[in-house]
Amino acid sequence: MTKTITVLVVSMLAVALFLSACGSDDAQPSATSRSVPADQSAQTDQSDPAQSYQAGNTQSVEESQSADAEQQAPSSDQPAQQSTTDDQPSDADGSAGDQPEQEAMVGQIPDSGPYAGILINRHVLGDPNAAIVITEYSDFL
Amino acid sequence: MIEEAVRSGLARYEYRHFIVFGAASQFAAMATECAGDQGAWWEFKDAYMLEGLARSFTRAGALDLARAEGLDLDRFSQCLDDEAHADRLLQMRQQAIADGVTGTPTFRVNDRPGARAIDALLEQIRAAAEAAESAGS
Repeated sequence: MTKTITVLVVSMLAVALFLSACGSDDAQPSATSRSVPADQSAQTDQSDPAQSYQAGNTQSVEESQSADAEQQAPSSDQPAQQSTTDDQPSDADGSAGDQPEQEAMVGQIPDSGPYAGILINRHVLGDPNAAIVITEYSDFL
Repeated sequence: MIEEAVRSGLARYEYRHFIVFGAASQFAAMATECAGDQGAWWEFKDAYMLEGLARSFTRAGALDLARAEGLDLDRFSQCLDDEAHADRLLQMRQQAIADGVTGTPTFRVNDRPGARAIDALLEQIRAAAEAAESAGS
């Protein structure tokens, strides 16, 4: 009888130990395994998109830089427009003869009107290579 | 005579803003420069110089003139709003002062001070023309 009870107790203890072992194995490792993959996935989700985003940014920067370079390249091929902006520094340079020549290069010769047949441009009338330069400083009022 | 010299290719005429009469004058100069963006600088300059007393130096007057010249009014208005040529006008003024200009009108011939009296100025131009022709011959 005592042996039977002992066997039962030992069996119950064994079962309890087995169950507790199974329970702890299910809980802790699974929790760890979930958190790790979760962390990993989070890191992966954060890192990969971040990397891809950064890569995307890098590409976009490179693209924008190349686009800027492409934009700069054609702009350097626009002397007519640059001459309009370049004439301002020439004013500051004090070289009164430089600006009109640049302006006159993109001038026009009207077919009619008071200046018909004369090369005109902003501020300038006449041949940019003329021997005489007459400059008038004036005010409209 | 100046026109004749210009037409013959002997001379070039250049106009420089030298604003001495305040805001209305500044506005007219700005309007002229904005018109110049659309190829109508001389039309505006002549209108203000020749018809200035009859024409109001206001935004409405400038817009009327721009309309009459067939300019893009939106672009013209934007230019006025932005004061897009303020730097150009300032630089002209600074250059004029550096050239010794103190009032208007002031002329210079070949970057040398021009005479104030028209007869003396024409004589100065005539002498410059003769010098240029003798140098070229």
